[in-house]
Amino acid sequence: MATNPPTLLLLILDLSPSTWGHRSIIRTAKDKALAAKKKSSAGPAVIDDVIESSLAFIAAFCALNRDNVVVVIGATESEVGVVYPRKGGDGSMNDVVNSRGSERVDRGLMNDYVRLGVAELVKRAAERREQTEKQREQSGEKIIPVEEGVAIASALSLALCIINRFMVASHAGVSALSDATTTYQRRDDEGVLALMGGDTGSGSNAQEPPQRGLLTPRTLIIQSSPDRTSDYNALMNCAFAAHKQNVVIDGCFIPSDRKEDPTSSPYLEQIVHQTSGNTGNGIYLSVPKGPAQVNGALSEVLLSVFLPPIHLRKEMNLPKLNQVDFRARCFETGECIDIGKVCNQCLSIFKERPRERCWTCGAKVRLKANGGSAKRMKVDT
Amino acid sequence: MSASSPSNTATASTDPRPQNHTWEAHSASSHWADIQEDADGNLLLLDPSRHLSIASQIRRRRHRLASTDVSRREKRLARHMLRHVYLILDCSRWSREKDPALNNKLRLEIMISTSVEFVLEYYDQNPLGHLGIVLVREGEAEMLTTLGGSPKRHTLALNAALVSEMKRSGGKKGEFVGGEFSLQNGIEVAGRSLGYAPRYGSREILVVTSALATCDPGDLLGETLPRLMSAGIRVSSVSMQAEMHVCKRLAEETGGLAGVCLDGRHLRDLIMGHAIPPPVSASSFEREALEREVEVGDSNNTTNGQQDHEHELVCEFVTMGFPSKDGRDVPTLVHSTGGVIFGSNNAAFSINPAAVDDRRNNRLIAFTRTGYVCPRCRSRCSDLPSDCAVCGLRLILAPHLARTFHHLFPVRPFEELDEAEVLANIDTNGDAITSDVNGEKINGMRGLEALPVLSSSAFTPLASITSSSASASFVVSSTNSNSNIDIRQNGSQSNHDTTNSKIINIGPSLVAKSTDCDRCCFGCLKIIGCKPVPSSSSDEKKNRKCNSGSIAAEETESILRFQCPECKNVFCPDCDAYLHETLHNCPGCLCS
Ligand SMILES: [Zn+2]
Ligand SMILES: [Zn+2]
Ligand SMILES: [Zn+2]
Ligand SMILES: [Zn+2]
Repeated sequence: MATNPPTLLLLILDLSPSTWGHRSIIRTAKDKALAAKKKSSAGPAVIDDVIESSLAFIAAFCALNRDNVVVVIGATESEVGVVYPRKGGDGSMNDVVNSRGSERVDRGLMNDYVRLGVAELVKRAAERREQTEKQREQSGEKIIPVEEGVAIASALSLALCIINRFMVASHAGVSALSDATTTYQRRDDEGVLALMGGDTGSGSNAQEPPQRGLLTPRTLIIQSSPDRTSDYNALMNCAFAAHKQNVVIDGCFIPSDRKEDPTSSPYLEQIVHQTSGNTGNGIYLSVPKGPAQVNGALSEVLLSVFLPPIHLRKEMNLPKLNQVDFRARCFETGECIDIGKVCNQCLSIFKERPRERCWTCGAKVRLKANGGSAKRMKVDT
Repeated sequence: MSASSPSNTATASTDPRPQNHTWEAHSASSHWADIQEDADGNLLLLDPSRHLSIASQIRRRRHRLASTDVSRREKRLARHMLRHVYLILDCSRWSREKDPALNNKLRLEIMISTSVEFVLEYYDQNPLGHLGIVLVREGEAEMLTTLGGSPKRHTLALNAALVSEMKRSGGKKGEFVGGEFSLQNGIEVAGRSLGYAPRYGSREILVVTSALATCDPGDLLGETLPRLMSAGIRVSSVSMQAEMHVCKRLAEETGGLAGVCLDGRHLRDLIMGHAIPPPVSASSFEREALEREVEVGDSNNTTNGQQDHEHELVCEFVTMGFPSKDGRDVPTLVHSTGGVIFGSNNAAFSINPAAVDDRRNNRLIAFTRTGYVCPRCRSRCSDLPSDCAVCGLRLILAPHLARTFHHLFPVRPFEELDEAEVLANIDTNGDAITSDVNGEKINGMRGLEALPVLSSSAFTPLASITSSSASASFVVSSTNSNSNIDIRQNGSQSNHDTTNSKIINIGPSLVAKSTDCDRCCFGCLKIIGCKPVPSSSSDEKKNRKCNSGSIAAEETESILRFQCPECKNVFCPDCDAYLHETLHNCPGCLCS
């Protein structure tokens, strides 16, 4: 068995102040009640738990291989930021990409940057919220408040940009200096005949051990806010781009124990499923409610589920995604359908064929009067 | 382009002689760098002494993409989302020549390897599309694969074709292996099959040719062209050697594109450009046909309809099935396209080999536990998207539709930002944000106190950060002296003459918007829009002096910045390419 290939981990943290604020209120209330009964906490995880366990996870991840690289991205409702490494200073992104320095992750620096970066992002988000509320009071409740949920699609796009930068540095990836499909170019160098010997199937490349010096990219999203419907297309775009570059996306959803909050993230499930495809490499986990979220148990969950290297996953008994909701819905009524009419201009799905105009793109409906037969190319040579 | 048509002596790939021609030598390939393409696709011979800097190469590439890729333009366009494309590959004797512009490899080899990539890219961009391949050699056209929805089938067939074609040219030593190229035969074969493709999709032919002449049984422009036009088939061509008039003419008449490759990379660019769905062109004929149809269809308001068609979209509704996944304990027979099915080692087998000449390509049978059930006839198939083998219903999943949405909602093209332009410190709050000098985190600490949710005990004191960030990297931005860049100078660097260069200290501050730091890519944190200062501080001044001359002559890519017109964030050239060509998202626009 070969040693672990060096891995590039992109960790995306949901830092939405409103979500974590709610959790913290629930937690303190519950903890008080439990403390009265002399029991330990069983409430939902708060942001401290998540940061602590993420740092523990990263520490363990770095111990797997000294060439491993970690990038931490924080996301709030309306902002995303790369928390570690930073653009300049010691251990900057430049140094990490060009693998300068002995170790690629400076753990002390990382702990500081992550904690401070989280604080700054949360503070900015809170300030922004305050400001919009103030504006709303002044202007008479006309300004639409910031959408609920967290900018996961934006953070994931950022993560893929960074992965692309690492890939460009190792002469793969999409570079402005070369064509769009440089990922294939490495094969070109080997010659076409060598290419034919191997399996050219798109899915099989993921299992092959990567070349020396190349980092295997992977992404872990830790989300606790509900999904944002406006993000769907962007998330799917991310999933397709990631799939194309063999980037594995793992999803970890931390639900609260209130009944009205969602217990899972359907979008996260879908993108994990999309990127793992048939190989089943991506892992999605919705952390169980209750004591599994507190007192360091979250670290244990992260370590046991998400730490194993990608090529070992198929040997292990890890959570499997069985039921993913991919049903098509009618764009007009929203009901699930089996057979639908699809507009050939905008690909909207309708249960019933619109009479005059497509509801989405407004194009005029062409009637199927004299079908294709009149336009066939005549056969006479 | 006469230089590229070599003499016959060098055709065989197994030529034992060393390089006899100057153009076979590696150094000779540098001449190809002197040939450039202008905006209209015409070739220009540049002055050899003038070599382009990296920055202007990138600018050129963006310009070319903007002119070929319609999504790069500002206009919103209707596109063919359901495409039917035939790829015609020229395997005549012309393709069995080594091409100095293509790293001295056989054109055939390059053409087929690029075609394999094209097939994958095509199905990636058009999951609902159909593709077929036609080979032309010995003056005859041969259908390699029929129109179908399985990339696996095409790539397997292409690789097999390459092996057999290579054997041919390896076996017989002579320059006439492969024979002549016949464009008309190729187009007739493809066009006949396309004539049966449904009207709601596009009908396209892409010809990849190495030949300089076509050897046709009839009059291509006189007989075939009118029928192509009446069938609404769009013919595009990519030439690996030189432009043929007939290709250009066909492309012009049918609304296609004709291109000539400069080198391997450009060839790939040209071919891959056809993987993006073309805009619905209102070519003269198509409008006519639509009008006629309207007259037949809704004769009530004929006058209205005719006027509308000039500038209005027409859509058609296609019935599609969204199958459900079905798993059973015992493997059952499912229809398959012949690709490898996960979880089973059984190869798919064919019930009736004669049936392969059919638009429904999943005529093979395999044993699997899981399959997708057609909602109309309950038959099971293994691969999606495909047409149901029994009832012909088009079966897809909702994510397949999502895959094509980016063609409808493309990322707007980014604008190049001038080096001198400053975005930082224009905060919406009005009060100046603490700059990135030395990574001051004063704001961050205040935030801690302001926020009751966080327990501040979890955070380390500031001192550790400020001490570690003392050695920030320096960047010089050579701007005009009258620019208003805020000068950040360290004490040790104060001896610099700042008349035409400013020093920006890139500290480790957080970037959540490009207004936080406009000299750093929002996507990947690359430092852009400036040039790095040589790190050796003793003779720094000298270095900069002698560098300034060469830098001015050769602009590196690091000076380029591109700004998203919507969210005003700044990106590096690599991210610009990645966001527009692969990801189709703007991270900045998604979080506002
Ligand atoms: Zn529509
Ligand atoms: Zn059916
Ligand atoms: Zn970038
Ligand atoms: Zn933007």
